Amino acid sequence: MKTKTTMQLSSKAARKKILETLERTLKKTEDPFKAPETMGIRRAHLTPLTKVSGISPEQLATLFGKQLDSVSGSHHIVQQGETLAEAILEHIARLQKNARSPSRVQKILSWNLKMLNVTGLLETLTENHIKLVVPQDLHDDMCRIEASSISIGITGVEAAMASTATVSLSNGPGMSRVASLLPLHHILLIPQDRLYPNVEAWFEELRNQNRIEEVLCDNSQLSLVTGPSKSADIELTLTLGVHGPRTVHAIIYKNP
Amino acid sequence: MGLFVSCMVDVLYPQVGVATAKLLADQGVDIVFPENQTCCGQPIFNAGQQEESYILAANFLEIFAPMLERKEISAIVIPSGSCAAMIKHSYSILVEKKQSDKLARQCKIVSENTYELSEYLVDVLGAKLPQRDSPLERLTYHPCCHLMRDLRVDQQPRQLLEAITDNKLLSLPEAETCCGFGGLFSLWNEELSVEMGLRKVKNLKACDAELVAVNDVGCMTHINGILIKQGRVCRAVHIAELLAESETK
Amino acid sequence: MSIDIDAPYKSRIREALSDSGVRKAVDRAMGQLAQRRERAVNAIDNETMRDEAREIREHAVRNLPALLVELETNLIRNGCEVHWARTGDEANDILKEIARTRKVKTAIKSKSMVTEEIHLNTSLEEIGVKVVETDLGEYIIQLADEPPSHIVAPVIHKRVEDISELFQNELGMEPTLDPSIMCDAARKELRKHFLAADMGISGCNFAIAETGTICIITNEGNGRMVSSLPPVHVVVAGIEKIVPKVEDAILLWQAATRNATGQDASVYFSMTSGPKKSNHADGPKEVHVILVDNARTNVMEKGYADALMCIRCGACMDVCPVYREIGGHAYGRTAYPGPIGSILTPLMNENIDIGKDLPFASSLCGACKDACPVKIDLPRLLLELRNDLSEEKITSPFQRFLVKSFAWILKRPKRYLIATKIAGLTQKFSVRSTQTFSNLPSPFNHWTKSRVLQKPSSKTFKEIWKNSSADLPVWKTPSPEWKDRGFINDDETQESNR
Repeated sequence: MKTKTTMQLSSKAARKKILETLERTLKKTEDPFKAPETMGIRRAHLTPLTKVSGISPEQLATLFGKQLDSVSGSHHIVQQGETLAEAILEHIARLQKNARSPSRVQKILSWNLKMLNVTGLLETLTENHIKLVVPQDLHDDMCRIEASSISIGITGVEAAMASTATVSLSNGPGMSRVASLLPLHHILLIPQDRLYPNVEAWFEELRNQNRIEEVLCDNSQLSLVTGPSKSADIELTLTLGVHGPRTVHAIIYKNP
Repeated sequence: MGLFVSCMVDVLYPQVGVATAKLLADQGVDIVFPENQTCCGQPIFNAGQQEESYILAANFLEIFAPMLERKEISAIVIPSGSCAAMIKHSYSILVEKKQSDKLARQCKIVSENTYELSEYLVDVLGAKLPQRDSPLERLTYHPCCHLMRDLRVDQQPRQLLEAITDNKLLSLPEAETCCGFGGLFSLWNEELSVEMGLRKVKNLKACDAELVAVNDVGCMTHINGILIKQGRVCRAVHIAELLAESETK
Repeated sequence: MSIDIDAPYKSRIREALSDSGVRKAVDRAMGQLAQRRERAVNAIDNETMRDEAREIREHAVRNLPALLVELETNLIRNGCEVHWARTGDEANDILKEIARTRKVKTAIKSKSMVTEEIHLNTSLEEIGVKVVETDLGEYIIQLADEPPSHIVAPVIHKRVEDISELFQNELGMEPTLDPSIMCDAARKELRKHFLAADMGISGCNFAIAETGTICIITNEGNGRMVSSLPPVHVVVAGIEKIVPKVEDAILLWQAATRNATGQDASVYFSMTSGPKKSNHADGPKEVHVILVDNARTNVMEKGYADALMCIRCGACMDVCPVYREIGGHAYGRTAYPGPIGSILTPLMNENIDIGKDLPFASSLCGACKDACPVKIDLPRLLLELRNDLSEEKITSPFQRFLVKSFAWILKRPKRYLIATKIAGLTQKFSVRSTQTFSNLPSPFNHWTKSRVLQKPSSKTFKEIWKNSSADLPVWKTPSPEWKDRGFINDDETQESNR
């Protein structure tokens, strides 16, 4: 049985051997490639795979919605005279109607209210017997049990990318991972000013602002999510909701 | 232009060589046929014995490169998709390992001036073949993998075949799927090779083809091998023979 | 499982070709995957993407040592513990040690080919840890106790009936053939494990050196769960999975998903850079990254660094005409089937018998080369492997002798002429006047079992050219009577003469 120190020593020895072998092989005059092509030269700037150019925020919203629908998600763009809180309530009501066993008090697994940033949300939900549950510590058994029993989750987004209907979800204080992962239904709140043409555009902005490290590392995990969970393992037939949410509903709104 | 017929054509299908020569002669091309040619070395190369195949490649280069260099011929034409691919695409692999300036030079001039037959007819000669009395019916086309993928020659044979079918060339389902010949693969892995061939034959039946034009006698031997064993009426024919027939009045 | 994957090569192929159930399933699945792939790559500028993907991967492999050090530095800075393992055994020892010290009883796993390579599950089970595969396909084959048959769709060799029966027996599911009900049963069962597991084990699709980030592609969400719910997350990563920059990972992610499943983007792309911070509600308290060699340095030493560029998308096997006929299990006991598997298996496996026939199990059609998103010249690698195996005298001496004899004859024009003259005599001495042989003695019976063989012509082209005498079968498109006959019915014909 190896002690911790032995494990560390073995790892260090392996590291040395691996790096030495690689360096030695790469230094040889004989090329380690049978069919070399680029000799290691690469361009600095990569071409986005999906091209979307010069369209307005409204058009981006429509494109995002269309794409999300095409990957088995659904969407709603908040109209004039409708509040975001109302739009959220309406969707929850729809989910409750379709639920097999509608409960009296509906709990929603959620990000911290400040992170959601929806005016009047708490009031609207309370009026309708809906309780927001913001988990504190998923390694605590009670918290875990409660979180895993909730069928609807609601989160904001870091950014939303229209061409593929991908959203980036940061996790951090008040922004749990489970809110978008455990429940059967996930509601995404997307402010219009967080819409980007494609994934590459968002990362380009982060790069220009020198924020890549902050977004990736400071909050431990960044998830790029595109629609509801899917599997095609059984005879390549598409099924939803294995193991993440079965429905993803995006509500796109204009910030005041 | 220098003619290389390939060992299989020489021994098994000389009529393909004759048809090729006729086609080219009718286009006003002077044909030089070096008689000491043998094999381009592909089956040996693909079997994994590069050192053996290198000698055959060197022989080929020694025959044809000087003729090109002395401008006795301007091109090498081959009625075999896989041989053309071997010479144009894979000779450089053998030659690189030898690190010989002479071989590198010979390989360069040869690969730059080697053409498969339909490629030569269309791209170099811009050949206009005489009209047939009646267009060929129920003809389809099976592309040789090496010609299609290594040399990117596909549009040229199709163009010639559309012309002799009055633009009614049948579309072969899964045309780009390998027939399963693969050189010695057809012997070392004969069951697999035959299953792949059976799929090709099934697709021939599906498009109701009576004839399938090919540009490689390897594919032809394998596909006809199955068709005839099964007692089917469909036949694979070399494109040279079909085009040469068109010229017969 | 119908094929004995430990049987010798020839019997595996034979078994695979005669199992019509698996053949149907594989054929259907590959057809669909190839179609979906084609739609997805045709929707973009695929050639530019391939060029850029190739640049990234070739650069990464050529700069592996420096990138590994950069990755390690940043992973540690992010709060991860980094371990190195030269062999599969070393990697398993590290995992066992972590499991032991953290008193792990259950571990959940997301799909990882490198963990298949090193037989991680078996190793952990030896110390009493229950390992639960969470990728639906992997979970199914775990229940069935079979190896995966494809690197992206591990269970395409199974029909829905087989899976239903499995779930009925193992999960007590009601009889049904509805995939959504079956998935529900799996979801319920696996949800229990997700919430209770002490350790999550994942692979790594891309490791970003500049930020110290581990990227995991899933469609199900099990990657997110494995890397978020248990208190300990262990990443097992092959050392070649490195990319220099975030933008590289974003490009390769989309290249992989388009080629693997025909999706513009996988449902989840989890980018993990370290354990949870103290004010986070969830996430692992510890993240370990095990950087595994397991013969990858050997692959490079042997001069096949090209194969290390692979991003495990499965495109090569989706378009391979051989894979389509035999399926993944026929490639034997290996984590990697298909074209890339035919290269990696003989190179990485200590036991050369497992992989020595695979480089020859190809007609070299080149479909894989055209499909590969990082432009690996797979046929070239197969050819070089064939040459290596020949030179090392691992191939059959008889085959080498046969090929050598051919070459000997072909080397000299005079020998060639004599040989072809002899061959021409077969026409004279043939009993039947047909142009073909139907039955030949060994070794040519390999051909004539299911095919006829063209007889050598009585006059070679060279002779005709010299003497200009034509007495040849000249092609004539048949007469109308022949045209009416058409194809003989399938009922009248035997598909195979076995």
